[in-house]
Amino acid sequence: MAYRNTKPSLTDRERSGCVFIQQNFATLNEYFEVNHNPINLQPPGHKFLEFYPIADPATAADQLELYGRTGVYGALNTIELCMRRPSNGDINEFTSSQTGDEGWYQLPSGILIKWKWNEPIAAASSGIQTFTWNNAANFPAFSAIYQVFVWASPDAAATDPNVQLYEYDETVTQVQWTGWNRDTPGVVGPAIVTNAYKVNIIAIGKGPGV
Amino acid sequence: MPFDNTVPAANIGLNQTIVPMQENFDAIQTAFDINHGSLTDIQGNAGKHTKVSFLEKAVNFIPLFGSYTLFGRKINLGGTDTLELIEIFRHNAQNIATSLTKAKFDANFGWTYLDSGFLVMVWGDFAINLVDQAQTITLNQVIGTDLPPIDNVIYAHAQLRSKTISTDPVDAVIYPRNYFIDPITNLIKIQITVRKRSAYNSSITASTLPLRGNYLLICNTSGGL
Repeated sequence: MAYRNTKPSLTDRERSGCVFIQQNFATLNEYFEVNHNPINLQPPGHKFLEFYPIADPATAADQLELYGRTGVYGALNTIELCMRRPSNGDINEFTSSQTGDEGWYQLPSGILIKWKWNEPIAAASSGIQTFTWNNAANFPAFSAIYQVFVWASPDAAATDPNVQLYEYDETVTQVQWTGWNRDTPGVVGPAIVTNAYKVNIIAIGKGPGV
Repeated sequence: MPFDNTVPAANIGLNQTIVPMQENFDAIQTAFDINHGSLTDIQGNAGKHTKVSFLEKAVNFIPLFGSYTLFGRKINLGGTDTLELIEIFRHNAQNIATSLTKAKFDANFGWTYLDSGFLVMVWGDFAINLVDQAQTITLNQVIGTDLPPIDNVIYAHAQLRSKTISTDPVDAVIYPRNYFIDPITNLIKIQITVRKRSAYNSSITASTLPLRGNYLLICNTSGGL
């Protein structure tokens, strides 16, 4: 039923004008019922579904925008919920994630959490180790890194990794730590670990905001 | 043309009120078409959102009983006053007001609301000046000002970091022992014990202090925004 915002007009006869008025009310009623309780039900107009259009919105200084888009990072190419901050600011895609031993999750705030479980670490005479985050297309990059937590776990061949890790430095792409063998009585000072082990890492930073 | 909800008036013939009625229909279309598929859309998109905008509100909405409400409001927490999504939901007959999107983006002391609405994650680093004894790390961050309003700490993790990568082994182990909000100062405290790995072999001396550590906390909030 067509809505006519030019009706009724002065040239309409009273009865024909009534037809247009009734048609406009009927169209308004249909419109109201899109995702809302009908006008004649309680509570009238109450929203029961929110539809997030696929969009690429601009935002003013006093405005936030929620919308859907095909996930930029999600492996399943699904539609994800996004929020754009004011003044065409950062876009937080906050319903996508990556599961697995190396995974990530971005919070609605824009904080990005990444983890790596059971990363094999080969022996290194220096004790210094570096882990580089996966930079595949379905792994969002940190735009800033805040805190990283690193600890050792036994590898498949050793039930006791005999190693204590001390995270040293972090960048948006990698984590560095030093590994030291646990103390051996009678040996002066800590010994640099040279055996293989596995490492677990969890990192907190800022997401890419795009 | 402004909407006039007094037309058509009683006892006035329809032909005498045609113009204001047409103007009302025009005003309705103008208003409804904002951020929605147009009333005149014949492709089936009439009434569907084309945008879902949250304009800044000065105060909280009081939500309809039993409903979940989302709106935009500025929050001044953690040193920045930013427009954020506020969520108000009903829990145990109480309206819980937290933020879906607010965070403090900082390495030394940062936090974020988690999207459950009840949790805040906090992280940061600290210096350790003592070893081989129990000690308390105090987060000098005011709850409700530097941090969201939180009720208690429900999980804490802390670990030692290396000061330099190759020449300064930490040679110590940290044991997180307890965590709480000091009822007098209203500051978060993390109790830890730091041990030299060996009392007689340790390379820790006064010159190697303070040691570096970092922490991760999960806190509980019952709203309060």
